[in-house]
Amino acid sequence: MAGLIVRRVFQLVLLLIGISFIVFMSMHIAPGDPASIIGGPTATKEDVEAIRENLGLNEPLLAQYFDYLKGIFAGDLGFSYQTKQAVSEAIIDRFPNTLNLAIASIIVAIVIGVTAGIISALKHNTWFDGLSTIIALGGISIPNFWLGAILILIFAVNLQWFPVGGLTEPFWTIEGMKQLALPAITLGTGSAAMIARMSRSAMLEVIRADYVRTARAKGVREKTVIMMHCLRNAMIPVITVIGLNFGFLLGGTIITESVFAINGVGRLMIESIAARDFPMVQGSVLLVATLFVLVNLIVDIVYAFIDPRISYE
Amino acid sequence: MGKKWFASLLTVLFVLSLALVGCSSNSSSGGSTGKAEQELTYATTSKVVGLSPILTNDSVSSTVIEQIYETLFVRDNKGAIVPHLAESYENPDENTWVIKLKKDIKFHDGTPFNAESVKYTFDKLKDPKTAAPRASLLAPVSSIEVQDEHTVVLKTEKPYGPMLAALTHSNAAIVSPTADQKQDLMKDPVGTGPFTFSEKVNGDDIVLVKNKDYWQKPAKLEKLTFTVVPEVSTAISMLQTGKVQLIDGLAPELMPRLEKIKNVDIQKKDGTPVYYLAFNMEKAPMNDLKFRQAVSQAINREGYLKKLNGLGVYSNSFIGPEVFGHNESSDKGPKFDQAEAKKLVKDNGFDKKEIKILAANTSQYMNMAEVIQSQLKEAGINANIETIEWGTYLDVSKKGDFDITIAGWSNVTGDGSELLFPRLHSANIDATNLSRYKDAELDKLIDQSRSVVDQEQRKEILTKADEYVMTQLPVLPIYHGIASAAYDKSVKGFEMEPTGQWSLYGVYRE
Amino acid sequence: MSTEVVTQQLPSHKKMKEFALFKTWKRLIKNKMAIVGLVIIALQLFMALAAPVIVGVDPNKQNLELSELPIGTEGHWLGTDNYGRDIWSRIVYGARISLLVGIGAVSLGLVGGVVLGLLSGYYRRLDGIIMRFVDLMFAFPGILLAMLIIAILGTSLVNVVIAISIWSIPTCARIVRGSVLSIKKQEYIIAMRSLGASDLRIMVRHVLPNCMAPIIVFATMRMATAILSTASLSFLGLGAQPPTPEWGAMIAAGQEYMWTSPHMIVIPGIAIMLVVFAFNVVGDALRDALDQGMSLDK
Repeated sequence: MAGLIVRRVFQLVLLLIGISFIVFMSMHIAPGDPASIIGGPTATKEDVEAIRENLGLNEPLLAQYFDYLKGIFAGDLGFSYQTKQAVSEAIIDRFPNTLNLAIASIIVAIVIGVTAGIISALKHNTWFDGLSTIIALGGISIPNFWLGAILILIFAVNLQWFPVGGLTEPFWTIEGMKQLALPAITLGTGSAAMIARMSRSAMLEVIRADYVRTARAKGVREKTVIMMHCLRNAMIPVITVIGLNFGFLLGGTIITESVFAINGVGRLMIESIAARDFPMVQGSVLLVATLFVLVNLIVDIVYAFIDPRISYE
Repeated sequence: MGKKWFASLLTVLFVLSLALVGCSSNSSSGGSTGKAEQELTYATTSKVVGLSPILTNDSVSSTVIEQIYETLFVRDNKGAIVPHLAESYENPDENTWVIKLKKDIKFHDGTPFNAESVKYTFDKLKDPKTAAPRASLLAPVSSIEVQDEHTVVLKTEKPYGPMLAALTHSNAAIVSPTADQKQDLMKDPVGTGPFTFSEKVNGDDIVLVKNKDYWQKPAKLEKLTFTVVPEVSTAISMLQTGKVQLIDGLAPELMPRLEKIKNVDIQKKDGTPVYYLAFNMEKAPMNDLKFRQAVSQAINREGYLKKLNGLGVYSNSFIGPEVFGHNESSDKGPKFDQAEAKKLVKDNGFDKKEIKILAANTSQYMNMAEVIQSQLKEAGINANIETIEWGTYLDVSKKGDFDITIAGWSNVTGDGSELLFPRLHSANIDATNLSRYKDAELDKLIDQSRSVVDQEQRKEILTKADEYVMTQLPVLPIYHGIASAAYDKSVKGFEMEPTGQWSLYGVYRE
Repeated sequence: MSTEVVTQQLPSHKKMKEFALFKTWKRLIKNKMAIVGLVIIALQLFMALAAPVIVGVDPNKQNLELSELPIGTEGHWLGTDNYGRDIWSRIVYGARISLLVGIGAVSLGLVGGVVLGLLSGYYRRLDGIIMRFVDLMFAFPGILLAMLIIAILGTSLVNVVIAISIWSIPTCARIVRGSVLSIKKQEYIIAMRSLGASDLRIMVRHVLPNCMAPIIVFATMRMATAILSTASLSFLGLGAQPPTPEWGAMIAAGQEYMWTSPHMIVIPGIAIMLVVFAFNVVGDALRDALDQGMSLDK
């Protein structure tokens, strides 16, 4: 296990360097100049030139990149071109919101997805199974921003059960949960559908497996069979899907955060890309990529615990 | 299948859409819950870049900066320039501005406001090392001298007519020198204004509190919160449910909804911005006056105004009704005449070339582009729209990589020179002069309008320049903006300036 | 055991394959949901091909006097949008765009993914590099990658196709690589290699057909994702250029009118949902059918 972790962390470092290079290059190849954005429409040539010089944008490209890399290894993510704020500070401010949203969504997704999937499998080929399949497929098919807008229209403005937007209270308070509810549903629906499908088919496979039949034949109670034998084994592929989805959710918060006015890392990314605020883009992308890799590492470790047959050595 | 199926589908869609309309129109107001707490939350679509008037140049930042800092001069609600932090001024000669300052004013950190602080602020704004985005505002000023504790002298090389207008600009607000040396004003601002900075919460939200030691009567509101809500429709819902009390810069398409909300008042005021087409004068066929006339006659500008739900003013001039230099009686510009436009297009073969309309991808510019493109098509001009991100647009448009572009100029100083000089003077090609217009006669008029100090004379020159622009058509003004805001009915005393800016100094809730 | 059947009766291999396809098809159309999906896809295809015949109106023809007409209006049965354009004709022409974007993005992605997957599965030396590259692409949130690509290339539908296709490369590469690795070890491939068959020939004639099943399923599902992603990018203002009647762009534009004319977002929203749903359902059913149908091949 320790070997696995060391190897993965090493790979992660290489991966991050690769990503940082791609982001750096794309932000510099892309048309648009951070200096003219800071200057705004009113800026004269001299104004823009002074800002470029001030930001160090007149240095050779590679020198800028290596300067940046050096900074990273010293634990310094640099300063925003636009707001002059430390990138690490800006991210620390926003990350809790994104994490709350992602966790709330994955909870929504797991609760709905796993329950629906298991019931569908147990009641295979009944009306419930059919209905939940249709809903699951429908869930993946709804555009996120569309669902968000409609949920706001119905539940926040008309019924006023939930606030329209914003995430200002901690998630463990009633108010915080209310604020998280609609965005979490919006974001979690797609994943719920994927998890439901995966758990249904995994469950079906397991139910038909020999050892389950044996257990039943031995006279083990049905409840025990389901809980002890089926669930545990069926959950392995489900956990992969959950792990992957969690990573996607972190990226997927981009749109949901905009619709619900949540000040998270996703929105920070959109704004910074639009402003060509390279250090800010770089910092937030590296964070999301790191999390994605870490979550998948955790998934692999959890695997090994659930399924003793898997060994990484 | 067949008819029955079709009919039921229709019904379902109809009911669904009715249900949704129903949702929005019978909704009750959740706002104004009776508590007359003197607090106010304002929502904008983008974040505040920073709180230093010297280092920022975006409208959202200046909204907050307006509450914290003050300028030497301001425009009163009739648009006239009056002293604010200044007491009075005089011009011993055309190149010298002696400005007397008010006494007994203190910055929030206790530093006294005096000539030294004015000199410090302006020197810093002008210093190339500062890289201030609006350094150009005081570029004509060659020196700033302290005559005594409360008198500052600005000297220019050439006479600079719009000096006072420039000094009303929020980027020329005075900062506390001690604070600027000690801390980062972007994060921790210190001015003389009616509100002081309290804290930044939840990432981007900014909280201001009342300045109890303000040099005039203290403000009535105790606490202001500036929050970011990227989707305007979400912001309106928050206004409706009482989470937000003020939004501004309303979009025309949202007016019908806003007007239906019971707890909301709307304020509109004729404003200084102008939205227009800029022709790339360095390319054919845009450099052909006949082409520009054809385009101008092909576009039904008065018809477009109806789409704006009252958020635009039609005026056949580049210098708008609320801008210094506008002349009501002059009407030299082109008129909508589709038949004439079609004829011009056909006679000159303008239908053969593909024209690229460049627009930033914000809804306002995209809406204009879509209507204009469609009307040009009707007249036989084959135009395509290219939308790009705002950040890229700033760069691409200044480099002139387009045929026609949709542009706007908000003109915070409210002075015609501050529109014509950046937008049409040949000195600003590759920068703000998007039309890349180079015309000796107009250059001369603009230079005059900037160098004459007598305001009546300046007005005449500006009117002449405007008429010249409307016959040469390097630009085609589509409409002039209206400053707009929507606020909760409990908010009283709110008053906008024509520039779209506002102060919350006199505002209270009941 | 099925492998035996195939290898023993080599002459009829092709026939058996056709038989397998036929069986897959039969299994597919036994699935009621799949039929619904197929019908929707067929309808979209029909709308896309016959758009000018179905609607006589130019989808971009504006009439500012007749804007925001509701559903059921005479002459505009789905109403009009904020510029008075007929929504029905925009939906029909939009079907063409969403299909083209989907097919374009998926096929580009497939080409990239298949090439990378084949190379990496077949040549051990390349495997490490290619798979690290694939990992790298995986760790990028998809929408962000698309945003970066569009930031570089500029806003246009073609660039959306490119951005979305790149996004499907890593998954496809992994699928193909997996199949290659398992097939490579099979005896008949080893035999062919020793008989001097070229790598290219083996890859194209034997390896590729064997991973067709998962690729087809993947491609069908990916159509759904591609159409959704295009809509998302348009929502962010990075998609089709106006006045293109792209469904996602229609929603994005209609968003601000949702309170007064909700049909402007409801209709294109339903159109997207139906089409995405159809591709998902068919993909799902295909997987089930292929799992059993194509097994003869192995």
